[in-house]
Amino acid sequence: MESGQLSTRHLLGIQDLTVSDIQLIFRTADGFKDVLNRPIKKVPSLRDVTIANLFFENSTRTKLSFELAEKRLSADVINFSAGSSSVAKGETLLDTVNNVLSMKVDMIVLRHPIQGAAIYLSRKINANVINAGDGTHEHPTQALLDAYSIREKYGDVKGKKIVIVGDVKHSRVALSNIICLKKLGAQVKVCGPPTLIQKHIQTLGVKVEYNLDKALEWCDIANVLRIQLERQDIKYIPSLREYAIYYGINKQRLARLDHEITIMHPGPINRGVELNSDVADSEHSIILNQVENGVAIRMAVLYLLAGTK
Amino acid sequence: MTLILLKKCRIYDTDSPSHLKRRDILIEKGIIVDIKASIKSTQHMHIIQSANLCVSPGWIDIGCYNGEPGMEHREDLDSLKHAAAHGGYVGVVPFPTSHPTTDTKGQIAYLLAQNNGHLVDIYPVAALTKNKEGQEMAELMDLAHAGAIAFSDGKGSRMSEGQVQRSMLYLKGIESRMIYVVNSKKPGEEGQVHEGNVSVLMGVEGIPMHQEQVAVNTVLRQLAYTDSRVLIQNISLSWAADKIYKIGSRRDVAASVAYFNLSHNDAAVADFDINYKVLPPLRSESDRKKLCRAIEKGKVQVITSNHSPRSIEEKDEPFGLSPFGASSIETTFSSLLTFAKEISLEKIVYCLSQGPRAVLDIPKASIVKESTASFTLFDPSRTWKVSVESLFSKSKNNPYIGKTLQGYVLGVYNNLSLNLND
Repeated sequence: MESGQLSTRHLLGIQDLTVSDIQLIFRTADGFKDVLNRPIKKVPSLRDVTIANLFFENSTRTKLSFELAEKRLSADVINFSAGSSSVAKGETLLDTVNNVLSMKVDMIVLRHPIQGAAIYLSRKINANVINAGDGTHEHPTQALLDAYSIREKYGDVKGKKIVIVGDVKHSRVALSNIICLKKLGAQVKVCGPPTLIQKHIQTLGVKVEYNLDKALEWCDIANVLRIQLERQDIKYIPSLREYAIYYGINKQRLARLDHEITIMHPGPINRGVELNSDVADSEHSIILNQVENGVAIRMAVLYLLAGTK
Repeated sequence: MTLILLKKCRIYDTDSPSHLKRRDILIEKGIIVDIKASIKSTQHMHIIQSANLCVSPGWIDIGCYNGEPGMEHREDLDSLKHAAAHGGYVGVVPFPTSHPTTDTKGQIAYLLAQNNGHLVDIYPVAALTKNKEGQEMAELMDLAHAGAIAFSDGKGSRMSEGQVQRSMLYLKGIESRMIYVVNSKKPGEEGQVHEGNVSVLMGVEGIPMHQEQVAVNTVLRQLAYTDSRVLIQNISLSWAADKIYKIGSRRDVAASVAYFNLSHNDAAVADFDINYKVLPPLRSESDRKKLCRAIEKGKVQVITSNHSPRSIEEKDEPFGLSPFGASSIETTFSSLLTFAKEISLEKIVYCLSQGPRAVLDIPKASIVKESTASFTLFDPSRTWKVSVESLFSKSKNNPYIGKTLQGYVLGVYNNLSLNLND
């Protein structure tokens, strides 16, 4: 397995990672991807390490991916979800986590609806903290697996033209992706209705394009975001119907382009809204590769952070 | 001790002929009886001397939080007065933040009854609307006659524009002043920090500058219509300072700034430090510098502490859940001297002492012979380390805990009482 150490003992956001950290995670994930393709998919790297997956927000893909990664590394795993816990009785995040930690847990994987929750926790406890998504702030492992999937398909991220389409404003995936891709030397544009893009997003070094067809014409890769209806107390778009017409990607739209592009999506897909099935399931899509790479990336992150004790 | 002698004390009072001069000052039974280059001390005097002793008219804080009755776990009147004295204040002008709120003359009488010769005076601000619901106007004339110094629904006002306008007009009849908070949290507004690069990197909703611009424009239009008196509280933009200053030449309007907006920019919250999550939000470095220049040029007369104590149970949460506010009344002077280097000491002291007095018609408390003694003693060069134990506020949501600040309040004198911090 790759030797080396991360510059941080928590993974709170891509903002905290150096380019060397990201490359180390990728090289480590390469090794774990080989492991995952073997008949025996398990290694003893994290034996005697206990990891708690604390999910204060719904998740399917990320939760399963982390759990599988932990089990492939032979860690002991406990799972927690807010709905069936004392959180429903008013317990604070810190009390919940301290109770879990008193059971001798070494690492915390946290998903929480509030921005900065993982950072808050990392300042209060001794265990390693991995941010599995905090509100509209960051989702670092998603950005890592997205960049890793691009690297896998194209050999390198540097110089690639990537457009992030959709609800950029409410997306932790978008922010982490932008920072990660920029660190790795990609060119990044964001595309969506103006109400779904932060006014000052250009300060991150990205360009804004409101016209989807122009954005797709420019890019090599389109990373399509889900419309985050559950984060919208205020209506930012008139209807899903109109959104699908002007910002939905379908086969006809791709056919008009003068070159082929790769389609990515962090899931879950609103089929028929941001992405039609004839694109999501086509040869242009690497969506399922992303899911597969997610396990390898999370194994790499867990393995490397465990070494920072 | 009825005689107090301040030795070699530099006077900061633009109304005093001894402004910026080092003088000995003798106080007897609450009156400044002599100011001279040298006054001979006797054994009957309480002598106060320090290498860099300075004095100014006692400081007044407009718009601080009071939790009594109802929210005493944050701050009660006793802890507020202790914290205020520690911060150099001889008077506080609390907003109607208690539960029930200050909307009856009984409530005003309760607050004024606490004054009874105490070191720190309370000048209560009464609510504009009953229970601060933004619907029915409170009995403003009755409240004014009972002793309310000004009127405001404070932060989070639910008043409509029409209600604000009618209240302004009504207050004109009693020549009282409305305090209008421009950076209030309104329903449906989700902003948590200044809108800019930092809000993007934090992934949180930004508070755009135009929100304040719209609010200032609206209140100035209403002021022009009603020709009444307004203090626009805690602006965060130099644009607002310029605009209010310009209109101030023909209307009775003034502005105040919370000291955090002079000391820090939005980089302070970039790592999700909850104790810098304040309202008005910390703006960009460029805004901070311009606002400091506006203070230095005299466009703003009042610096406030924006004291917003919150209990640890309320405040110690992830950033998005943590409420706005810092327990800040004890570190005003030190923060300004440590971080707001663009503002002169002379101007800082004016904005803490004579500025607020002028805006709310509180007597001047000048450092002149035969005037009533009400002053703040400070040492601008001395440093101190802020600790939980050093703060008197019940709430400890102060971002400077553990840090060393420059500028030390030595004590206050008011209502015949002397309180020294050493």
